[in-house]
Amino acid sequence: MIRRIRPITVILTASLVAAILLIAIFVPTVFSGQNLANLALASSITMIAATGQTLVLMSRNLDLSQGAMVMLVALSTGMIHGATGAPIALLLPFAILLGALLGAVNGFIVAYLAVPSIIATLGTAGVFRGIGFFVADGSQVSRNDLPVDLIEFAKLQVLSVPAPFYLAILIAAAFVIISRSTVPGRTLVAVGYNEPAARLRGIATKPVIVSAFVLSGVLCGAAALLFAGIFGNVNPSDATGLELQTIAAAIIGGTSIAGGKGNFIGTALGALLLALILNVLRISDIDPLWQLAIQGLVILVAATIAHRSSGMRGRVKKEMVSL
Amino acid sequence: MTDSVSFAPLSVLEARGLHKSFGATRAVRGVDLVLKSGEIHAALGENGAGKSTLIKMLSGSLLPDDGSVYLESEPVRFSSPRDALRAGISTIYQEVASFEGLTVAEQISVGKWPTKRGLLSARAMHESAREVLSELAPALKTSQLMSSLSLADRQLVEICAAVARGTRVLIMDEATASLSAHEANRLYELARKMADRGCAVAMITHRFEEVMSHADTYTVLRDGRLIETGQITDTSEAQLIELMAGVEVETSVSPDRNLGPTLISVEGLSREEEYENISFEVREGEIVGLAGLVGAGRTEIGETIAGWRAADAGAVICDGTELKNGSRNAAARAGVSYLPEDRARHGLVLAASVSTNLTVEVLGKISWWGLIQRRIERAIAKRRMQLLSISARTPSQRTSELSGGNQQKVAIGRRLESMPRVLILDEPTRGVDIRKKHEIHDIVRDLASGGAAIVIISSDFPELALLSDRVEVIFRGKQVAKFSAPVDASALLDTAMRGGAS
Amino acid sequence: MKFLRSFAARPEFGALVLLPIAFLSASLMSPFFFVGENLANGFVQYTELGLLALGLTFVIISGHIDLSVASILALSGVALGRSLQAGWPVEVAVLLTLAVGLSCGLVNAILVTRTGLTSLIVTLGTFALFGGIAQGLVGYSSIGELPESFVGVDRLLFVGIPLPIWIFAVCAIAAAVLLHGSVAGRKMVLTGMNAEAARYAEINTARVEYWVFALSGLMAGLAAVLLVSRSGVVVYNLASGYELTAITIVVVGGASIYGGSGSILGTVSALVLIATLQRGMSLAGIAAPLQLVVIGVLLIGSIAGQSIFRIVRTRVNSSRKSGSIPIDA
Repeated sequence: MIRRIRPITVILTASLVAAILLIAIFVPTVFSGQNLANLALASSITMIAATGQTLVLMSRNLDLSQGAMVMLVALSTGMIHGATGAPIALLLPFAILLGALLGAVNGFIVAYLAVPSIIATLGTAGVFRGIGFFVADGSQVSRNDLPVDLIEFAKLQVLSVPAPFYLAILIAAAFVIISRSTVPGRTLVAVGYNEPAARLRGIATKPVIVSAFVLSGVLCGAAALLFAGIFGNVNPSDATGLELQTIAAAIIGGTSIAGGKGNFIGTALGALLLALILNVLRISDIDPLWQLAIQGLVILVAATIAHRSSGMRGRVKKEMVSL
Repeated sequence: MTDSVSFAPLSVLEARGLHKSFGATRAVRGVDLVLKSGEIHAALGENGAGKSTLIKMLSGSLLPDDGSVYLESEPVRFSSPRDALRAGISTIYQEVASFEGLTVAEQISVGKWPTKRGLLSARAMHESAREVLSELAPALKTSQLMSSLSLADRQLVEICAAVARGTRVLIMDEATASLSAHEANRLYELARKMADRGCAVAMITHRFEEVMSHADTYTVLRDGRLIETGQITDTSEAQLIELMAGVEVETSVSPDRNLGPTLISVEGLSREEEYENISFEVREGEIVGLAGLVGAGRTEIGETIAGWRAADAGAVICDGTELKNGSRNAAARAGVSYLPEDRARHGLVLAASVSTNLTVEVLGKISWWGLIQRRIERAIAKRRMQLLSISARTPSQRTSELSGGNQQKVAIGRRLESMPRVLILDEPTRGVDIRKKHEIHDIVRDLASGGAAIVIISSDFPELALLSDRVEVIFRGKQVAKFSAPVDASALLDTAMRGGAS
Repeated sequence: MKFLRSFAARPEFGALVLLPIAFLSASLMSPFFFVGENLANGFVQYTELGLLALGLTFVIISGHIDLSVASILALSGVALGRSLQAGWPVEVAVLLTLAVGLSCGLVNAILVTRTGLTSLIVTLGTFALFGGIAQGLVGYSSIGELPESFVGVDRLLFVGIPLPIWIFAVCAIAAAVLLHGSVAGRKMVLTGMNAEAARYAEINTARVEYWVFALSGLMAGLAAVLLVSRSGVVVYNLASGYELTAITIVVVGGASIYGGSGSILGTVSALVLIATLQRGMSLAGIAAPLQLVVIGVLLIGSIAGQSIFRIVRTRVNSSRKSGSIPIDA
């Protein structure tokens, strides 16, 4: 295997280190053991969902329904447990399958109905959230409705690092391998870089795009379980704006919005950086409501830098005659 | 027939009686073509002769209206390039289908990945790529990124990918159009190696020397019909050029115009990697042709005069004053108007109505305090439609619904509305049927008689010969020859293809 | 017949055909729907969305998208609330609000024309940025106790109809004249159809982009004035989610998401259609969340409909052979 360390990874690591140094000087309380554990725990949800967002971005699309998917899966899992007491062994596959189904709906609309992904997922985000409000019917899922195993897992620490964080890292690492050295992974990369050319090479590109969305749904399903376990309650307006965090994390991580190029390590670092910023805000007594503005700024700045530094301006023009 | 001892060439791909029409234009009418194993076959013809259409039917990009295609004697029907690819027919285009973030080895393997226990076997992939590369393009490394390669190298990789797929028929559709002669030669050497392995190769090119030095057999097309097919060794360049040009149909109207003083002159115009030291002048009432092959730099020169590009050196002088370099406004104010080559993408807004297109450059004239006066707009459109006999149902018909010829008249009509003094027409009759072509020629002559200075850029050499008072030949960015009326179309073609050096 | 066919090809066709059906079913579902007062009260709540949709119509027709409209509304609303709170005269505060809306639109325009990023990404970023600044400035508390002279614009009647509806009507007519009757509107449509060809026709497409994003921002500012006056309070999630409904209105109104076609009449009829649907559903006791589902399905359905229509038409055209393809390249 050829090692390819991207310059963006270096820049990102460097700025992360610089940020940590600055914070260590000005807001040293960030580095208390407990706070670091909190930070890692908080970043794990974003990190898992952002891995899914990276896959969708690689296919030259965008998934704006991630927040709604996480909420809907968490909510329905909790409600089912609350009503039937189903064990985690059943809830886990349920959550994953529900996520896959929601992702498949997105993928079908984008690939087969030819609706631009941003519009399609903006629409399904509304639909999913509407369904969430409807099934919740004014109530919410509380701690008692959630399986104990889930809450225990969220609390679990190994070597004083929260277990969910290990899970998030494991998932990101798995996708590094999948995207670099499996056939489906490389096919997704090829489709993202040049869909018409991939079609010319005999690849059925639509199923590839659908599977990127399905995986985003699956990972949101996993993130939803963590979400429920960590926060202990779920209501239908939860996880709004998660998609902006994941997009920001992926873009800072060097994933290109023009498709093809995905960097899962970068995405994980990006998610960590965002969590760090939020954490610093919280500790410095700045209203967490400002975090949205910061995400917006991060998306704009990172996208502009990525656009300027890559030679993709020429590439967009070079669309082949579509067939 | 040559007495080849080694093996009798086997027919790999055969086309019988292919037909294809676009609207009223019959692009290909009843053409047969046979591609044999071990042979490089050149499809020859002028612009609009139907060679690209023919090749596109073999590579699966177009479905024939009639006729059949046989692959190794089995009838086949390709409804997409993918079908053709699966059958072992690979096409190399001028634009490479490359995946920029992938390595050379991956580019070769896309769609046919070697695996080992479910995982992509990087070793097998690199090994098989290395195998192909070492034989065909030893200078390339398997781990290089596609985005780091030159256009020519990407073309080479595409051919290597075709070899790795086990291609039986290789089609090179203008594959060398953007390459230098040296790079093109490397590509043809590769094609020859493939032919030696038993592949059948078909090529389309605008460069004659490539045909003479690399092809074994040829087919000449003219007006969509098959004119002749044979061995390159049995013919000569002059003979082929004559076959391509054919007998002239349109009778030349003697340029019986009064030429006025010089209106526009181009002095030593240069632009890096595009053209250098171009100088000519056009008088009032004069038609000057810029002849050259696609990619020779003609369009770039036209766009520079009209202010769409900035020149690195030189000047454009209109009516005694130098135009500001690279300023569209300055050119427009001086009365210079440019008709772009690509009608569908640049020349017209096809989705808009005929009247919208005809009046887009004179929006000020048809509006009052920023509000469009529909009555005036309609009147102007109707008058222009009448003057140029544009056949559209109403001025509000969508331009995309018109035939190619009528669309082109709308595109020209739009430029006339602002009453230009200098009109640069880039390929004004491409994709236009014969009758409409003559009508457009008449329009151009009328304009010149009215005192406009006209520059026609074209690779349709009989057209240039017919219309122009003078023709400048551009070859690879350089001005290589000059012809004055009466211009000999065959001589023009010959110079444009070979750069004048005989 | 010929008239019918040309009408069917117009962008507003779908919305106009669905409108009487929606009216009818809304009146059937609830006998209260058609009571005059109810109708006016119902629609007055939609004037802000209507203004956002008018601005968006320009953006979408010229081939772009603006996901930030609701955030611009929120930010302008916060500026309004804070300046009124500080005791500024109402006129000055309103002007400031419009100026904030306009500036946000210009920020979008600058980013789109200068960075080379698509308007999708730019306005996704500014959606978070403007909205985030707004909610950061407000915090979890709300801005209330606004001056009496400002609050309650919806209770002012003119010829029996609430003032906001008049304001919307005037804006819609002005927008129709601008889009369908002016040189600027013509340039927007041409840019949306084919930006490259528009540039070859001496149209300054960057200037067109400035115009449409500025208009969209200004409309959001105006909507903020109406919304804050109507509700009398500014909260941190003011107008959140409005962008989804506004985009849905424009698209259901027949504007092509790829630019180049659409009409103000279409947007207005889609607005009335969606208002009718939601009012009808509310009066019939259908929960608000399900209405969100309906909006999402409408959005996706109308774009899927458009693209399927487009695919079928190109298939038909190419089998009929349009002759527009240059034959030999």
